[in-house]
Amino acid sequence: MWRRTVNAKNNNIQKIDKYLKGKLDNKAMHQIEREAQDDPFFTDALDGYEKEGSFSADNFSDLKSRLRKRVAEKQRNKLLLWRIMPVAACLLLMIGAGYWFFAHKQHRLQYANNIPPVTHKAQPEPVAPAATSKGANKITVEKPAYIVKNEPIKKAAPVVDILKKMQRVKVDSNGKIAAKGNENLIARLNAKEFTGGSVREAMKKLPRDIAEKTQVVDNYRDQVAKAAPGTITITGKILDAKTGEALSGTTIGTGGKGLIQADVNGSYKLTVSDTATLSFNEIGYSGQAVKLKPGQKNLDVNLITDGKALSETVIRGYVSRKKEPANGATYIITGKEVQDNPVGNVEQLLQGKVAGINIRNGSKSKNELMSVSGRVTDNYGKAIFGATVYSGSRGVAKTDTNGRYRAMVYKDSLILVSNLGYKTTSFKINPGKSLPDVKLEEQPNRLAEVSIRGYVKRNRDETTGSSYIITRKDKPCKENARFKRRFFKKIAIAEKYVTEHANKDTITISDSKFYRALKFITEHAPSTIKADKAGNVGYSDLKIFELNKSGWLNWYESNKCNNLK
Amino acid sequence: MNFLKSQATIIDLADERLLLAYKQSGDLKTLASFYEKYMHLVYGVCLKYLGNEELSKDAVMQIFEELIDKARRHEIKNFKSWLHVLSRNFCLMQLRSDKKMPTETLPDFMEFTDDTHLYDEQEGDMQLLERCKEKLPSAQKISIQLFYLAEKCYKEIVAETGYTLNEVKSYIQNGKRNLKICVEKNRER
Repeated sequence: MWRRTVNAKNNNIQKIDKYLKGKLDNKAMHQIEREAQDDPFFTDALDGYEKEGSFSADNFSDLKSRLRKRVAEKQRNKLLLWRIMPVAACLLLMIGAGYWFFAHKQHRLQYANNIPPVTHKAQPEPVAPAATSKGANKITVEKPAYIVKNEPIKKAAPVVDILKKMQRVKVDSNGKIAAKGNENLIARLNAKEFTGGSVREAMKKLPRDIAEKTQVVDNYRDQVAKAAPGTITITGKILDAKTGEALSGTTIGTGGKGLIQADVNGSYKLTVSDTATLSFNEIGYSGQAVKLKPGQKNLDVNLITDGKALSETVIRGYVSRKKEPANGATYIITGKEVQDNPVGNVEQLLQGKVAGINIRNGSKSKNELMSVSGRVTDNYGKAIFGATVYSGSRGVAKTDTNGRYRAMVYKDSLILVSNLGYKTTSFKINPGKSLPDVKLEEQPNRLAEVSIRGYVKRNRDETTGSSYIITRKDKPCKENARFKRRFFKKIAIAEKYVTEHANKDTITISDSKFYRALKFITEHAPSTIKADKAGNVGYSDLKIFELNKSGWLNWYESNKCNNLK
Repeated sequence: MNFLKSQATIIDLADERLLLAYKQSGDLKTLASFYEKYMHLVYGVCLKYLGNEELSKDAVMQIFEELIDKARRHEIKNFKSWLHVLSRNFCLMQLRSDKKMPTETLPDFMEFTDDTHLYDEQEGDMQLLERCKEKLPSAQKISIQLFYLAEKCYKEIVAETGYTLNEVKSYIQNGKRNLKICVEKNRER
């Protein structure tokens, strides 16, 4: 299966490459294009290759080998696990007994209280078939209470190395193991306990996989050895994605906090929690955030230039400079311009005065931050998963599988909820209402992902897909007051008729005034209620009207600045 | 009529079986075997959005990591289109995670073709299709005619009509959509 599909794909890939280089005949080209027309995935991919100009087989085989390597990693672990099962069985070990602990009971209890339970974080371990291995016990991996996690130990390191990493466990040069100063301990693996001395020799050869699952317990079956805290030292290099040049001075951090900066060679080294997400930020480049994988020790990052913020603007209170050495853009604000502004600091003073400088006023905004949460559903009340919630132009949250989201937003910002295939809905937060639930109206013809821009000026020609330009209230917007009056009046007329007829089972309204109102609305806004030529308007219930109405209102909100007539 | 059907919606039974096998065994090799089948597509999508070979390769591997987990947890009906959406979302998230939105991410043409069962071959449909075709704007009609019936490739169509390549592509795409809407609407009556 594996080989067959791969071979078939290889042919395909060569064909694609030829297509991109224009080496195919017309018939074959048509075939590829036809395939792309039928398959949006392929269309997308083809767009990608075309952007790059070619699709080299090298790239693909590189990918293939990376994938295989990734799979082999896991596979080998599994094989090892099975090969050493017999060894493991005899050696699930440790060293029993301990009168000793009676004497130290008090101490032990105290100790136990201090240990937070550490849960097993590893990838779900595949359960391999056990039938063929001779006489091996079928082992199901239970969750150990304490393990050694992500410690920098070589793959095939003997278990002593791991044990040494466990707190309060000592391994001497003879391989004697002692926990908390006492040699009499029990080892537990897969809920089985092992005591006695023979394990000691075997332990030296025990590979890491097994050792990680070994618990050291005392006579009360309490954990004695504590897992090393889940930190990891990670190293890596930061490069420019295009040129491959090292980027020195890139800020690396976690959780929004910068921790260190890369050195002149673009290298960095830092110790963080093993579940951390590292962020990489450099002026002139798009930032990147990468979540660490279990066991990851090296993380190289390629950053892309964003071409926008090429230099940081430094605001100086008062600096006298010679005219010549100033090589950045200098803007001089005279006292006259700012004297009437009762502001507290230089930044506020500059706000809105200098073109191209964005001033974010941290402290002030913080006060206006509020937490909102709610649920995003479609018109039928079904949760929408993965919808994006924006505050202004910034994505702040995604909905979970239940359609729920929680986000911190600025009190006065416009909140937008967007998902592919649905109409983007916007609203302002109502301070009295803490749970803004959002219903998104389906919009099947909204095929392309739309990026929402706060306020963007573009040439018309450049726009290749559909884009919504959402204008903020404070930007100039010419609303056509006459249209607005008319549009809302027509909605009111329609609503009046509908409510009057709402108590009947099937509603058919055949009234010219209602028909005219609906005709006007549907000529402009999208609607599922339509009037037929005879002037009959049929629809099934009030709910549908309500949905349509909110759709119309939304339509008006997003189009009101488009010079409606 | 055939061309109104979408390939993407034809469920590959082999995929379904492999996916089930993976769910049961958790064997990465199984997962990798059918991921590899689509890897060149995932890579292409990444190229499209991220626009950089190295980044795209990284993304392909990261998407596989996501898949390891997600393929187990989600009920997947149609693996191929699901993977398409997953890949695209991943790339878009990647782009969004840089606070600044890149300005070049608007996809030109993207169509999610839906249910195919509407398009069972029927005698009447061919006539219907002909009628609908006549109603298309002429540029779309010509492009559709040349692409689907004369089986010409884009290059030839460009040469014959003088439209640009992008125009041809969008005429075909839009024409196809219009045809579909037209056929659907008329069949209901």
